[in-house]
Amino acid sequence: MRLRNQKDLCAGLLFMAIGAVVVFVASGYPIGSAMRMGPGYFPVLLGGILVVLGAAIGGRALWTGDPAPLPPVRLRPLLLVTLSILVFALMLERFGLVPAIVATVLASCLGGHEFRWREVAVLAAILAAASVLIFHLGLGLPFTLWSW
Amino acid sequence: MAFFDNLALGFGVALTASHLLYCLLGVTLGSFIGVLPGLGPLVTISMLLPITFNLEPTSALIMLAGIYYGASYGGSTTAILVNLPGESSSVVTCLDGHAMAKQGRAGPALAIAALSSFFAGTVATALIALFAPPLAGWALSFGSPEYFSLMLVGLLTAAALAHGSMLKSMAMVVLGLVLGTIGTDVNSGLYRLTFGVPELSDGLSFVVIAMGMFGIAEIVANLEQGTAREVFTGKVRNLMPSRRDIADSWRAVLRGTGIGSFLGILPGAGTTISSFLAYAMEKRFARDPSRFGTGAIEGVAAPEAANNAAAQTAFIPTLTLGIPGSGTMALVLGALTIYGIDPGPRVMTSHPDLFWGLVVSMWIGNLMLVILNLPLIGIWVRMLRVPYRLLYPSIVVLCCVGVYTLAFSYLDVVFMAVSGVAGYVLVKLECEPAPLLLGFVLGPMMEENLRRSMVLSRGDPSIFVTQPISLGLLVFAAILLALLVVPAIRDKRAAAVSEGEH
Repeated sequence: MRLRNQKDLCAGLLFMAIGAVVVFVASGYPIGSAMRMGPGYFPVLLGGILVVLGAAIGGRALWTGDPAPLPPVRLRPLLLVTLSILVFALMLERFGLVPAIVATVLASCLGGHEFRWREVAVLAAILAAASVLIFHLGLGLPFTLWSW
Repeated sequence: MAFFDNLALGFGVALTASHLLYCLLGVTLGSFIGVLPGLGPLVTISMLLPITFNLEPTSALIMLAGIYYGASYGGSTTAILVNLPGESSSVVTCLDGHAMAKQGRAGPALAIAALSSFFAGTVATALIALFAPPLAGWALSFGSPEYFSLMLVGLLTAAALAHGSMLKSMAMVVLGLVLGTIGTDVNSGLYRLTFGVPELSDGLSFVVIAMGMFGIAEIVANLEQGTAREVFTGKVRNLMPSRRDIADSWRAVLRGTGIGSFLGILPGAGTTISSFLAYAMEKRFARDPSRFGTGAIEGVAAPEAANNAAAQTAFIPTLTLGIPGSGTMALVLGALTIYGIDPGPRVMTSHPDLFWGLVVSMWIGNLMLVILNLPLIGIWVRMLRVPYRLLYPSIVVLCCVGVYTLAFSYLDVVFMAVSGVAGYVLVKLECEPAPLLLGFVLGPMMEENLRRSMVLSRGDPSIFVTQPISLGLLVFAAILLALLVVPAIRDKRAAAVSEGEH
């Protein structure tokens, strides 16, 4: 029989995995006792609860028959939007605010359905100008605008 | 009378020119962003939070509250005009509100939504002024065990009342608690779960998580769904509701306000449940229930009154106990700590001007919303026509710049991207991210109170059931859970049985 509630099974496994990692890492910290809790006590406890909850979610998915197949994932928006944020993070301090915003707009627009060069260029220009106006001039935040 | 003295103090603070200006600014910005399709209050608040960090606490909080109800109101506008609820609490507003808009009665629907929200807001504000002081006074006698139990109650009910599976919401709460432990342990100075990244020693910022999990994840999900969006092409005319509209809806407004005010106080219940409940009740009490869904004005008035009342009374547990009832309130609470205010029952006595100024400015903000929104509807309609392909890159940029300005650390921007991906995966697995945010904000306080309680009791966990207040809170949580779980079991069994019959 094909497992029908894949969503819950994956969620359960995910929570179990995170819980296990937390228990593993935090058990390296001093645990202490219930009366004098060390820094490891609370995280280990939480990690343990997470493993139990994950097991319950995953276990229930094996029993109940509600069909919940994994939804299809379209990678393009996910990857490009994420990339556009990472591009901002990496470019900002090296090249300055304006190039970073232009690159972010470019990358995030590539994640959409339509890409019109002229529109994207205008949007990038407006957003860069607005950010400089609001954050640099308006709020007086110390941004480097551009540096090559 | 203390009630009037307090309100007088509040008016004194709220009616200064600068605070009125911040309130107006907050309400306008909130509606402006909230009316954009796909941007609920959570995203709006987390996006605009960094702007408030440069203000002094009272102004910042007043502006933040303005953003909050501005954004909530913006959500109702999109629900009525384009059938696109900005947040889950305006889902039911879509049913009759959008039906009215299709019949060319968008104007009265919007006006009734604004007026019933204002009425509910007025009542709820009065309730805050009446009940917050005794509640805070009571909470002053709380020790660590009581606080721990209270937070447990808050988290459990939040998990229980969230959408979907309760087990999953509980796991999300625990995941939030885990994320909250990242950083330096206050007692030992040890770095916990930082995975060798020194920048994590101060912990993650809740703004980073909120923007990633709500803002960015939402964008990716929207892009995936495709471009099929309803566009409002009509014009809004005849704003004023007719005499018959008023006659039809005033009772609904009263009932909705009652439901919302009560449910808003409960931790975790919040705006969504109250609007659903108010709608269901109107339908049950209606002489002709078949009108609902085809443009019945009560179907707009009741849920709008309910969710606005709940949105206001939700401030009661947040401000007096330091226990947020919803993801949005968790953001407000997190913002308070950034402004340097320790949330809890002492806020009212140590910062009376802030507390009462906020309460009164909530009412003023609601008034501004009514005055602003009716004439500005033309602008909101135009905003609704902004295509998403121009909108989402702007949101991405605003989130990036906003997160960077928190601490001028590019790593925060990277963490936002990571939380975006995490939020996307979790939503795909039908795990609601709002309980996670609650757990994250409450985590450090919860651990601290657990530790102190255990020191008090010499390591004996029975302290939580031997202290009367703490016991009472836990019993309350147990009853609430039992009430919710039992029908769930029944439904499950019924579903299983009916499936067996096929």
